[in-house]
Amino acid sequence: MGLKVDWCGLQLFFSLPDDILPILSASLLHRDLCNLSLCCRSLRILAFSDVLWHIQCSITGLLSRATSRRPFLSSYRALCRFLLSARPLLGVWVHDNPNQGNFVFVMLGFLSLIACRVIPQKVGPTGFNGDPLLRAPVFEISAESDGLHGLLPPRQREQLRLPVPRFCQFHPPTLQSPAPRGRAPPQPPLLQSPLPP
Amino acid sequence: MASTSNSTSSKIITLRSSDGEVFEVEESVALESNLIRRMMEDDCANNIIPLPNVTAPIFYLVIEHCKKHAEMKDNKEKKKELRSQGEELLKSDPHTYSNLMEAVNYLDIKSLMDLTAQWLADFLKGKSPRLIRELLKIKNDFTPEEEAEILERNRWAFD
Repeated sequence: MGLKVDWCGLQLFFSLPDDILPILSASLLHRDLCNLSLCCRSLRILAFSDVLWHIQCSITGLLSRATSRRPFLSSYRALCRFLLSARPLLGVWVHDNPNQGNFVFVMLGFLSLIACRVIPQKVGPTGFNGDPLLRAPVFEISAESDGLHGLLPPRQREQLRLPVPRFCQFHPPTLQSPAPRGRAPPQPPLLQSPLPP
Repeated sequence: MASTSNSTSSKIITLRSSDGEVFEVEESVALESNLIRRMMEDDCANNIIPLPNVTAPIFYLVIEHCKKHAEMKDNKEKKKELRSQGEELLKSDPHTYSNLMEAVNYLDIKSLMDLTAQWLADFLKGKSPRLIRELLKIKNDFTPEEEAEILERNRWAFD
C-alpha cells in the first residue's frame, strides 16, 4: 500500500550516481551520516558505507597517517570514530608549571594514542644540539577493532568529557621512568595543537 | 543568455529529448555536457542529437541551470540564490530532483553534478531522522529494538 510513496524518497538515494557520494559526504558532518542511518534499513546500509566514511576520515586531516591501519578496523566508520576521538587530544600539552617537566606531547600510534612527557634537560644556546630528547611515556590508549568502545576506557572517558583534558589525571607527574620502551618514535608533535589555558 | 559565448560564439545545437521535443541550445551551453561534447568530437552530431534518457521538462531544467551556473561564475549573490533553490526543490518535489540528478549524471555535466550534490547535502545537514523521513516520505521500517541498537551505535557521534 504505502509502497509507492515510499519508493519516491528512497529512489532518490538509490539513483545517486557513484560520483556524487564523495561530494555529498564532503559537505556533511559525521552526525548527519548517523542521522541518515536512522531513517530506514536501506539508508542504514548507505549511511554506513565505506565510500562515505572514507571521505569523513580524510576530512579529519589524519587519514594519511592512518590509512595503513584501516585493515585492522572493521570499517572506515570505525576508523573515523577513532580519528575523531583522538584528534582533540593530539598536540602539545603544557601544565601550569612547565619547569617541572609537565610538558607532554600526544600523537597517533598504531591504532592508538601515545602521550610522552618530555623530561627537563639542559638546553644549550643553540637548542638541543642534535641530542635526542629525553622522554617518558605517559599513556597509550588503544582503539578496539570495531571502534565500538572508542578510544578510552569508560572511566577515563568520563574524565575526558572536560573540554580540556588534564594529562596529570592519567598519570601523576613522577620522573623516575625515563625508559621509552621503544614505542614512541621521536616524531614532532602534530599541528593543530590545542594548548590548555 | 549564457555569458560564456566568446570565441565559439553563437553556434546553435539542436537536441531532441526522449519525448520528442526539440531544443535549440547555444553551443557554449551544450558543451557543458561532456556527453554532448564527446558526440560532437566524434562527429556524430551533425544533425539533431537525440537524448533518449532525458525527458523534456527535465532537460528544460538542466539547460536553465546550466545557464544560471554560467551566469553566476563571478556573482556571489546568484551563487547563494542557486544554492538555496535546492532545498526548496528537495522539499517540494524530491522526485523531480531525483530525475534532474539522473539526467545530469547521464549528460555528464560536472558543474551541475557538484551543485546537485551540494543541494542534497544542504538538505540533509542537521536534519533529524524523523524530519528526513517526513520530507522524503520514507517509511521507518526499523523495529524499536533495531532503532535502539543503532542509536546506541551512533551515540559516540553525539557525545
